[in-house]
Amino acid sequence: MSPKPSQLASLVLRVVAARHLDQNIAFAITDEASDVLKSAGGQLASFALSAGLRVKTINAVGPYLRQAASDLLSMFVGGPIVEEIAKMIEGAAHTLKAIATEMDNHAAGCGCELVNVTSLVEQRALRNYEDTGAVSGEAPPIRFETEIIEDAQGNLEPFKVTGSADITMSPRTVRLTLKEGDLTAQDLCHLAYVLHHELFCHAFQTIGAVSQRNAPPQCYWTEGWMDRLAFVKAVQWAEQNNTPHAWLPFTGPDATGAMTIFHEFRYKNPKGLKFSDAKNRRAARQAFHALVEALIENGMARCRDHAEHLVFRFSLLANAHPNADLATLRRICLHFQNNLLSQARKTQTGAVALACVEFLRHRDLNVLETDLARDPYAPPMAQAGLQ
Amino acid sequence: MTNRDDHLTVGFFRAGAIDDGELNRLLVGAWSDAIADPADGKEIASILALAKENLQTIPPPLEAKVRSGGITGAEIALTFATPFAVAYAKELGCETGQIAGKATMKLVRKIWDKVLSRRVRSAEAEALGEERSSEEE
Repeated sequence: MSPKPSQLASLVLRVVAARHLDQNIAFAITDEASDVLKSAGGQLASFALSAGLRVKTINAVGPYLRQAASDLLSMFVGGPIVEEIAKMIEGAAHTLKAIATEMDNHAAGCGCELVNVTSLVEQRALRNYEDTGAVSGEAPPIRFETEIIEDAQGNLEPFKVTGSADITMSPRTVRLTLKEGDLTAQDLCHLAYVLHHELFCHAFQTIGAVSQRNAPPQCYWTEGWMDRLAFVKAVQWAEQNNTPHAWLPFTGPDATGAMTIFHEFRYKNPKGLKFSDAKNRRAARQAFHALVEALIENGMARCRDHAEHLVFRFSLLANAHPNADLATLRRICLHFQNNLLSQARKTQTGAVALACVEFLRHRDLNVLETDLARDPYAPPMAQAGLQ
Repeated sequence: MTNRDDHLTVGFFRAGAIDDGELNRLLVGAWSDAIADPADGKEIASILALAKENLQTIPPPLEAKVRSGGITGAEIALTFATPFAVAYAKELGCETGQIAGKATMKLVRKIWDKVLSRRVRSAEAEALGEERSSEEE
């Protein structure tokens, strides 16, 4: 369900407050300055709360955001404010005005589009898929939806955001779900990881196939192997020093730490999964990491970055492959798990690493599966089918 | 592949502890068990306005699909099964398109509530999570 105009206004105000005015993003300030920041954040929170009464139509959102921006700037009238805080408040006001203008021009836009992050991550995912050659023709169109819920049943807990994707329809849909209420800078980092997950794991899966199926939570390829890729990509994004993006309220350890908490939660407390499914999810994540190691150990990558790059390419190609139904991807993942995580086969990882590198050349999932299923202990004649 | 077949869905649920493939196997088992049961078979026959003996040729009325997959779970849709529609229409002597409407969906939902849901859940207690209310849609 699309957000109501009042929910949209509240969402924008809360995201802007979390991006620009969260106490945790202002380090070099005194307690006094911190109070000013708190007061500015409180002002936006109050506007967000009142939106239910004061914003009845979509056309009222823009003027309401402008009024919030103007009230924020009026804080400067009372006296001098620490420069860093002034910049933060000005940043929030400027963003609100820009979004208000955007709203005036495209009144039907949804909250997530307004805050720009979805298109940033979508472009990032698309570029990654295109660079591997996984998307050769036209990329599948993706539509974003935002949903705001009370979450009375606590399905989002302990977080305030989640996401889902439906690739069985066109355009493919990515839905962000946010809990009604104030947001923090940490929540926005969770949101960035959620978007990376939905776009890298789900949105570009099996492009060009006759029919698509959405991955269930038990799909360890999608939710373990590909999630690891999405997480690494999200962390890399958060580690970049604000260019080319400036969306996250902070970068570096604070941002990656917040993402790590969410990522780990999916493996330590996966809601609703049986023990065996949770274990398979962890094994798939572990196998992703082990493949990087195998490429290095067997001399098939120049360095760790190169090995990681090869595993990224391999994963994106396999995930988007038109013949990659979920059962095939799970079988491939299971081969990696069995071959790379077994202590008994520790010395045989070369064949697995080679199968991965070869796949980048031939791009045939059947050949890949045959290569991975080959018993490395069998004599060469048997392997060639000559016995 | 253009529109989500929501109009053919009898209920949306949070995903449970099993995937859609396993859930569909449970649905097939629950259906076979229900039509073989004297009381439930009679109930189903009455809901569908068919003779109880004719139920043997009818496949399960529902199938499970992952409606959306995501970072903290998935949503399962129980949808009207096409093989059921074809077989049921044949029994009634009409076109498949004629029966794939709201009225039949209500009958199928009734069958789910009265005889299938408890069988699926007794085979696997966490087969499905809680149902999403229509207000959430």
